[in-house]
Amino acid sequence: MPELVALLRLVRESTSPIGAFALRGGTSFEELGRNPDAEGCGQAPARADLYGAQPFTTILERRGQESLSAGRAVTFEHRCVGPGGAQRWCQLTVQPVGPQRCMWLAADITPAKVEEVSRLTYAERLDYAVRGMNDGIWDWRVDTGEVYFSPRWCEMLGYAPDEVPQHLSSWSESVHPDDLPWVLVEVERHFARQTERYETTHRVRTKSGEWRWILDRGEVVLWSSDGRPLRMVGAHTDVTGQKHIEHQLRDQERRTAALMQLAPVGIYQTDEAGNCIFVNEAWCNIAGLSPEEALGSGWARAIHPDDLEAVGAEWQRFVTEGGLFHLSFRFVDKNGVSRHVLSRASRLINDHGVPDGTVGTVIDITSERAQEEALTQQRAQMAASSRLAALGEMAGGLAHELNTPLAVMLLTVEQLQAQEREGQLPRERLMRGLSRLESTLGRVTRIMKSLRNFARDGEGDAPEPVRLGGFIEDVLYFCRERILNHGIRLNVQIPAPEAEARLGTTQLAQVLLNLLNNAHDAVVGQELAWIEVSAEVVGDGVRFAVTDSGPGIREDLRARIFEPFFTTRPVGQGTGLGLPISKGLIERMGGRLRLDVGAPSTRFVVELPGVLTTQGEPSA
Amino acid sequence: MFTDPPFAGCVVLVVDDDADMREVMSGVLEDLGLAVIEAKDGLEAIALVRANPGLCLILSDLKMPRCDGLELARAVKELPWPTKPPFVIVSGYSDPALGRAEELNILSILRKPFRLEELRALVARSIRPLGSTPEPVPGSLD
Repeated sequence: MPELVALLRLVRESTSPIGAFALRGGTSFEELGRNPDAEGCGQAPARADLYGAQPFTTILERRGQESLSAGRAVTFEHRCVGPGGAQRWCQLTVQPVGPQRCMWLAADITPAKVEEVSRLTYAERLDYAVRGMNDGIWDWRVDTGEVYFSPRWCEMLGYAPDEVPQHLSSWSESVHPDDLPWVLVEVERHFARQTERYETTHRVRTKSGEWRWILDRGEVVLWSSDGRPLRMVGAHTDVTGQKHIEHQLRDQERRTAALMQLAPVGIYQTDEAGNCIFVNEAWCNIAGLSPEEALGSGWARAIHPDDLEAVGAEWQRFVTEGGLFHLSFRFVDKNGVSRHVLSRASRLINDHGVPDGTVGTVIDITSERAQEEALTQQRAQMAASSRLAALGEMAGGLAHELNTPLAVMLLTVEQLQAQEREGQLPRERLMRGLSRLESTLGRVTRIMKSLRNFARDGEGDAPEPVRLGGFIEDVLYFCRERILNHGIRLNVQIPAPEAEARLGTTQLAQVLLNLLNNAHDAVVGQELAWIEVSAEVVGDGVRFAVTDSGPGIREDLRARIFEPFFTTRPVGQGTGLGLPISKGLIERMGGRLRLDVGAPSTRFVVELPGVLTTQGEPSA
Repeated sequence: MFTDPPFAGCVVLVVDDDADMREVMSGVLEDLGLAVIEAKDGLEAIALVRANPGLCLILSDLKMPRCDGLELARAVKELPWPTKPPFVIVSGYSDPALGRAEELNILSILRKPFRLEELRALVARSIRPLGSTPEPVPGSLD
C-alpha cells in the first residue's frame, strides 16, 4: 500500500509522466512492479488498501480484471485532485503480464487535458451562447500564436473558413493600422490582469478591402502556473451599423450644438418642473441674461413684470393641457430696456409617453412690432387721405353744381338792379326775376344740405328716414358733373322714389359715391360709356346697385378687391381702401356689399335688410 | 346805356343746358340790344350755327349732355366758311382741355359765376360787328 499511495501522490503532484508500476493481477494484486524512476514505489500496496472504499482502487481493480479477461492492454484517464485542490489528470494503462498479473503505467497528462477540456468547454459554451447571433469566435493559444477562427468569424470578414490561416497574424494584419497599437495595449493590460476582460471596438478590413467596425471581447481562460496567459477566447461582433448610428448621432449632436449657438432664434429647454436647463446664445442676447443666470428659475427674471401673469397663465395651460405654448410678451433687461418677443414651446414626451420637459424658441419681434405700428399708423393716414381725396372730389363736383346757380342769381340780381335804375322794371319782370332767384336759391340750399350731410365722418349718426329718390338725387349732386362731363351716360333707376328707409345717409352716400367714382374710372374714355345707379325695395329692405359698362373685374382678382390696399390702379392713383372701407361701413350697418358676379356688366350691390319704413308706390 | 345800342342787328347764340342760365343770359343780352337765340346742348347749337352764318357771337357752356362746348367749338372751327362767329366759353368748370382753347379758336373763357359788368365787357370786346372779323383779345385766354 505505501507504494501505491506514494504512486498516487506522485501522480497527483508530478507534472511529467511518472513511470510504471505493477500490481498483482486477478481479483488480488500479488506483486507490484517497481519503476526505478518513480520514487517511493518500492512496496507493493496491501490488498486491503487496494480494495478499500476509495473509488480509485475500485477503478484499478475493475480495469485490471478487464485487461486480464481481454488479454490486452486497457488505457483510461483518471482525474484526481492535487494539493491545494488543483485538478490533475493522469493516464493509466494496465497490461496483462501473466495469468493473474498486470503491469500499470501512469502518466500525468494534466496540461494537455486541461487544454482539451477547456477547448471543448469554452468552444461549446461560446458556440451555444452565440448561436443565432452574428458573433465570430476566436480561440487563441497565446504561447504558440495559433488561433482557431470560427466559420462565422471568417464569413464576417468575407472569407471562406479555409481561406484564413489559423494564426494570430490573420487577425493582426486585418486590424486597421491606426487601431492595432492601442488594441494590443488593451490585450497586454488584460494579460497583466489590469482588466477583467479584454474589450475593444476597432476597424477590421474585409476581404474586399472594406473596413468594418468590430466589437472584440475576450478573456484569458487558461493561465500557466507562473501566471502567463496560455489561452484566450473571444468573440467578434460586427457593430458597423451601430457605429454608423453612433457617428450619425454624434454628427447630429455636433450639428445641433453648432446650430443652437448660431441660430438667430433664442432656444431654451426646461425640465418637467419648468426649470431652465439650457439656453443658447441668442436667447441670452434677447433676454439680457447670461446662461448661468438663466438656469433654474432664473429665466423668469427676463420677463417684463407686467407680463409675468400672462406668461404664467399660458405656461400653466401649456403644461397641463398640452399643445403649444404660443405667446408674445416682453423681456426686460437689467437696464430696463424692454423687447417684444414671441415664444413658442413644445413639450418633450419621453418613451413612456410622459412629458418630461419642454423645448422652446424665442424671437425678438421688437422691430416688427414697431414696423407694424408704423404701418397701422400709415394705413390710418392713408385711409384719412383717401377720405380727403374723396371729399375733395365731392367738393369739386359741388363747386361745379354751385357755379351755375350762383351765376344765375348774380346776373338776375344785377339785371334787376340795372333795370330798376333805368326805370324799366315792370312788376312782371320783377316777379319773374324773384321767382327765378327763389328756385335757384332752393337748388343751392339743397346742394349745401347735401354737403353738410355727406362731407362728414358720419360715424355714429343715427339712421334717419329718407326718401330713396331724394337720397339718390342728393348723392348724384356730388358726381353727376364729373360723370356727364366725360360724356358718360348716367341712368338712374328708382322704381319707388317715394319709398322711405331708415338709412345712415352720410356713410351710405360715401359708399355709393365710392362705387360711382370707381364706375366712372372704369368707363371713362370708353365709347358708349354708361353708368346706372339704382335703388329698389326688396322685402323689408333696400337694394342699391351701381352698374357700369366697363371691362369688368378679372375673375382672378374678384376675391381680392375687398382686401385692404389691393388696387389695380397705377401707383399713386389709388389707395386700395375704397372697397374695403365701404364694405366695413355697410357691414356695420348690418348690410352686405358684394360684387354681383352673375350680372353681365360690372355690378356692385349694397343690400340693407330691415330698413324700409314706408313702401312707396312704384312710379309709372 | 340802351339809348344807342351799339349791337343793333347782331345775333348771339347762347348754349347752356341750364334753362335758368339761358333765360337770365338772354335777358341781359337783349337789354344790350342783341338778338338772342338759344340752344340747350351742342347738337342743337351746331344746327343753329349752320342755319345762321351771320352769327356775331357764340356763348357756350362747357359741359352739356350729348355734345359739349369743346366739341361744339371744334365743329364751328371746322365749318368751311371764310369767317366764323367768335366763340366764347362760359363755364364754372375747369377742363384741362381748355388748355387747347386757342387751337379750337376759342376767343375767351368766362368763368361762372360772373358779374353783369364782366359779361357786358366780354360781349363788347368779342362780338363781331356785322360784316367784319373780330380781333383776338390778348391775354383773355387762361
